[in-house]
Amino acid sequence: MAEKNIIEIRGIFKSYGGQQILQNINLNVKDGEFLTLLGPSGCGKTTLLRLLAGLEKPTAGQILINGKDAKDMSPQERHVNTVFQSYALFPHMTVFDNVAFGLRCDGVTEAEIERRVTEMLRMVRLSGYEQRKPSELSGGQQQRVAIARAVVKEPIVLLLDEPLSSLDYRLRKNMQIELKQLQRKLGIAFVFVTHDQEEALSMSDSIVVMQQGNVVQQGTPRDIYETPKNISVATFIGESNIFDVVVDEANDKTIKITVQGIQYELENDGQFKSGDKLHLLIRPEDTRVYHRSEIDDISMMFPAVVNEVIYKGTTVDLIIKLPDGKLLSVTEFFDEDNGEDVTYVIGESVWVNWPIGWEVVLPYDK
Amino acid sequence: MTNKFQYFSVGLITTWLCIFGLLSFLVMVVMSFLQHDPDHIALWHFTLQNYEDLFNPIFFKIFLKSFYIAFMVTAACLLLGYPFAYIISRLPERLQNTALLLLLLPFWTSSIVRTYAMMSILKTKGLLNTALLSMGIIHEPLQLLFTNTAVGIGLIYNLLPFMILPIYVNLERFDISLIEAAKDLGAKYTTIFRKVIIPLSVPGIVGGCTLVFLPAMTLFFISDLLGGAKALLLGNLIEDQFLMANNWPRGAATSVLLTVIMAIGLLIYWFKSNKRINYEAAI
Repeated sequence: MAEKNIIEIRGIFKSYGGQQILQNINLNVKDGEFLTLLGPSGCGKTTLLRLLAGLEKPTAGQILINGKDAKDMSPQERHVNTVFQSYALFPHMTVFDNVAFGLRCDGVTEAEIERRVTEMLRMVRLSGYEQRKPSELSGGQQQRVAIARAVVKEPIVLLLDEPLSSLDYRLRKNMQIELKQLQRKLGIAFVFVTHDQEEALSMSDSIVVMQQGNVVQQGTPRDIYETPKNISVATFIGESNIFDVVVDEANDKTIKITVQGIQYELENDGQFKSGDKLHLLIRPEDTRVYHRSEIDDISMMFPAVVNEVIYKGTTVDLIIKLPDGKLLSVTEFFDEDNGEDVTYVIGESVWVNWPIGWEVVLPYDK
Repeated sequence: MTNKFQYFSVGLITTWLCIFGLLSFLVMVVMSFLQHDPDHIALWHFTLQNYEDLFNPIFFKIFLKSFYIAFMVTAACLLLGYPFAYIISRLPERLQNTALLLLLLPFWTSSIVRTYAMMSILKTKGLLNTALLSMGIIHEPLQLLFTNTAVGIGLIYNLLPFMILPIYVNLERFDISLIEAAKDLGAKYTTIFRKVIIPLSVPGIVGGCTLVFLPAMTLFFISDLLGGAKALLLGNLIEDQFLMANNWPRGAATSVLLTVIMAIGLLIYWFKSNKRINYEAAI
């Protein structure tokens, strides 16, 4: 993947009628990458996308496209196109005319338009649909027309505003794969807006987590999931079991904390001091549960009772209750090789631990 | 509860329209095939004479003239009304409501009264001429009242809101993202207007034109008051048949013919737009 920054966002602020929507956003989009803006609704991700598209002007700050200030660029110079959330297909035009619209605006010859539109429709598997109207297409097909209409302009960056949110679950899954394949085939950068963390994790090269108009964290899906920067990122991305604890003892390398009456020694990677409050975060798939009969050494384990068993096909999800009433989520994978018995009954007493080192320790917040 | 209310309100309106719309129209249709009789309203005797009478060159001329005036009035209302509707549909909501209120305010006064007011503006020593004279724009008063122009002005004034409202309703719920998409694809504003906004507001335009065209042919009191004694509009012709010539069957035949012509026009549009796509549903 090329390392050139195709878009540089420098200190962008945006406010509407006195209300701050974006605060000091700094962000780069690299050539050919799949970058996702992820955040809850109202976090400013769509506004940021609209700034990139040139549909809004920033209150302060600068956007560079291909190294040049985008402030006074016409859409033709920008080379950025958008797939809108509602697709915004022109209902009175055929599929062909929809896709050809942008090329006609650029004054491309009809012969060239014919060639490029046909090629583009073949690419999104809509050959033969040229003369249909958008209302005669399914949601997924409309989506592909919207993509074709934007991509046919050969943008350097394609912006996608929650394009999958109105599709049903199965179609959404298919379109995720299709979009990812299309992006690889085209080799252009995608900036994709979503509030769906699963979608973000499965599609992106890079995820930008936004909250209340700020970029909270940027990284690969794995970075974001495994080393979230703060508790709100951690709880937004994936499920987690969180213990609020106080540091018993600390030195440069390690801290000692007590969970459920048991003292654990963990790595001190956050310069925590004795007496600091912190969040200990354990993902459900890292939380281990054992039948009473399986275990002899219970020195580093705490007890719990199975509260709920949810069979999911590839996994069994448990909700377990600790003696103090706290509930934890547990995901157990079927593993036929080691013959572990993952059949649990509600009300069963179990032992719980996690592989030391797989936890995430975050400074206390809230 | 809701269901009963639905039946009641729909039923009431249906009954109302059946009695005063459909039934009276049917009476007209029947009447148009009856024989004229000076001493009675009509004679119970089937005839096509009333329709044959309409193929008279004089009637034909009035028809054509009336169509011409209605066409010009409709075109003028469209040219004036479309930009107006577009502008108010883009205003913030509170200003939109104010603008609509101002638009509808004149309707609180009877249109006959307003047409009399218009007479006092247009007459030789009226407001308009006095103003133009005192500003030195003209040196002799213009003959406006009792001309076709006066009738045109009166019709446009009275009918403009009927053009504006349907177009406004259409543009008001126009999907802004279509405009943004066009902009995103590199369209200039004129292109967006020509290729996206106008084609998608066709239902509003057709609605407005329908609401303006028919009354523009038939609002007889406007041409009576502003056009003088000359029977200009089809409406005057019909009025004269009933009230002056006392020939109800022929008046009825004229009305029926007009209704049939308008219905054919609407049916053509309806079939065409159904065969292509339903813009409304697509938006």
